[in-house]
Amino acid sequence: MKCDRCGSEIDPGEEKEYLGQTLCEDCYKELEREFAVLRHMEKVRGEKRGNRILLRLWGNKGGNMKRILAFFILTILTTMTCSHILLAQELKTVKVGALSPHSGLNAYFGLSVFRSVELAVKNINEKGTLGKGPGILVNGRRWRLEVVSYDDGGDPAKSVAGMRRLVEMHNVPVIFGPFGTPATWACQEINMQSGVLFCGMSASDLSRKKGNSLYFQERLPAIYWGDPMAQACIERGYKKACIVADVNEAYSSWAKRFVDKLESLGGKVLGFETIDSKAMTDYHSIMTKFKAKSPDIIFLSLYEDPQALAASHALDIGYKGKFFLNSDWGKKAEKIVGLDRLEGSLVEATQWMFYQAHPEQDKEGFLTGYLKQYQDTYGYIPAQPGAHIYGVVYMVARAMEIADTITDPYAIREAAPKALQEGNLPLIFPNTDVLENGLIYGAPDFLLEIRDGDYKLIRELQVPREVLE
Amino acid sequence: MVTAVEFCQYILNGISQGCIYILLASGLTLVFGILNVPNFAQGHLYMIGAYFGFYMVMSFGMNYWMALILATMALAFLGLLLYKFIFYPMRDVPEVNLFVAAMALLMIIEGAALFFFGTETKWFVVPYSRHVVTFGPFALPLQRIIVILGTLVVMIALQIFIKKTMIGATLEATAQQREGAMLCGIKVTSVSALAFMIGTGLAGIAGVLIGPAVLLEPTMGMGPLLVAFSAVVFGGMGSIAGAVLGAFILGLVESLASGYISATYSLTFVFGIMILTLLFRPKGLLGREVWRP
Repeated sequence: MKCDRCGSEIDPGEEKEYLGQTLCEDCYKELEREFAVLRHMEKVRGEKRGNRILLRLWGNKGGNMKRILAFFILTILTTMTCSHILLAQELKTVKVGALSPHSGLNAYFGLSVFRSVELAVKNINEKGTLGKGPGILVNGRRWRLEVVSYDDGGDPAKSVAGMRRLVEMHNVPVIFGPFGTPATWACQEINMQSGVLFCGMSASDLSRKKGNSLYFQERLPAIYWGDPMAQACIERGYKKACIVADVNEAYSSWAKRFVDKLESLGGKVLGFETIDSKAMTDYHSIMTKFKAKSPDIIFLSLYEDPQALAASHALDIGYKGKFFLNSDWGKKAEKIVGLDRLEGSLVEATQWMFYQAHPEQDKEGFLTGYLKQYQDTYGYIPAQPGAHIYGVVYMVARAMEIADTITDPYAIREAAPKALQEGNLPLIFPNTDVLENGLIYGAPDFLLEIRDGDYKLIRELQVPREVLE
Repeated sequence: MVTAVEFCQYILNGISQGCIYILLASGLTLVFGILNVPNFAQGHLYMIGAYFGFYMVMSFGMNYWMALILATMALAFLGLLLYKFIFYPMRDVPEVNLFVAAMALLMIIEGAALFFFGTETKWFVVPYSRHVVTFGPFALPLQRIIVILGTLVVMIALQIFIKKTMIGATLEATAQQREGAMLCGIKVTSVSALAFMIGTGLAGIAGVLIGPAVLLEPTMGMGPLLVAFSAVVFGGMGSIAGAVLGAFILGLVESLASGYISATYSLTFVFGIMILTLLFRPKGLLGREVWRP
């Protein structure tokens, strides 16, 4: 006997009957499987009568009830799905990177940067970029930002590894950091290839010159303040100067520019020391040498803490002249040295120092609010770079909204100037534009003089835009 | 033109800097002499001492001198714990293991300091912070004078303790020959623990003494440790007198090189002189043969 379907031989007694056909075991099993599916779908049903199984189409008995039940279930399912979609829409996140040292010599600066990014992201997630939050509005849906961070320990090699890791593992379109000129230069070498937009925390002019179309630099190259500082010295009759500069390119080039300008205006530089201020704990010998040369002014082109230490040690060994303090000078340094001991000294300051000294000038209260929130959250006052990156996070978030993308770094970069030009972001440093090379531009610096235990504004400083483009 | 006044000021600066190296180097060499352990954590224990003093004075309003005594005791106790739980159990392992353990301890202490003290630098204010003592054309901050006098007192006391007391004699005997000391009935385990306590206590004293003259940060111990360790090698491993002499000379070299040449290269001169000395006198200035099994 042969199977009517596949034609194979069937052993006697193994044949199956199906709709008048004789089938083998395999073909019948296949039909059974098909039947099981159809029965599950309520298309057919079976009934056994004696040795025969009768198949028939699913009956209409109780059909209305089933339809009502099906409609009810469908409604519930639709509601649940919609609410799930809405919920998912609210929780949808876009990751952004933070790259800075959390350990090592620059940990204080690096953690200030990282925590300020966290703070800005928290505020944006709660209130939005323009106070119409929560989160950012891109493609008609709300997104919350999530920070993924990497501790590079201040080592440029680790910064590069960190940038790659953030891009490859977390797919971030933008990275805030790294901190420092060497790390910024290292990341500038790979960010285009990795396709990531980043903000280097560098005040070096070489970083600006190496800028690319996926780069931001928030601090104006410090070197350009050397000219007005030298002019201010000559105006006040401080013609003989000594200088201590950190080995960092931004600080040493700043000091050299000051030297060139001072000498071109008839001044004289009596001493110039380049030091690694992170490792230096004793400035007594340097200051003894300077004191012996009787300068009118000592320019401290250093970070905040070393400035305080160097000024204190100069006063310790009996130095009576003035100091020129750079824009890293802050409230902490002021407490260590004492303003009363700095009478007549000059300060090249950013909004950071100027607004802390004169809170009435911080009309919008952005710096005051930021400092209060930071201190309430983390229990200490951050370093100045934290305030710089805080505004950049807002700018980037707003640029994502304007560009209507969270993934395209080029579009986000292109929208960044518009984000600033709207003038609605809570920027501590009131910048107004982003130049082609990535330099964020617009906020002026200030030249201050310490008189009667207070900071007096001499004038605002601004570098012409065409010089920086 | 170099003036005598300027030169003397450099010498004063060098002496005050050298005193910190002396305190650190003495502790290092004492521990090395008895245990053959280069306690690299000495610099970080000095940092712990500075922070301890800072919190006692700034947070609890304690008297500075009281804080100095308490910090010395606390660091000595910490030294005892380190010995009991790290170096004593490893007493029979190869020296390279001890070397690695000491390095690991350094990293652990730095990490813990970052965690507990934070990354922000701290300023240790004491009543003498801004006092400057002038004598003729010279000027030196009062705190630096306290450092010099404090070091002098501590070193004299240490010398009397080692040379004039029975316990001190056991320290010296163990340093000279460990097995010989054991045969004479000296409990070398207790003596080793005592050496560790004195070493870390000295680091505590150094930290509290210099704390008000610098800014405190978790990494502040690394620089002084490097120079202090060089001073130990320069003066002769295991010799307290050698460590004192080495630290004193390196402090002066650092100050004079900063003044007459450049601060950038001051440490280059410090280490350069050390290497030159070791080339011609491998045992160091006052070194003795270190007995090894």
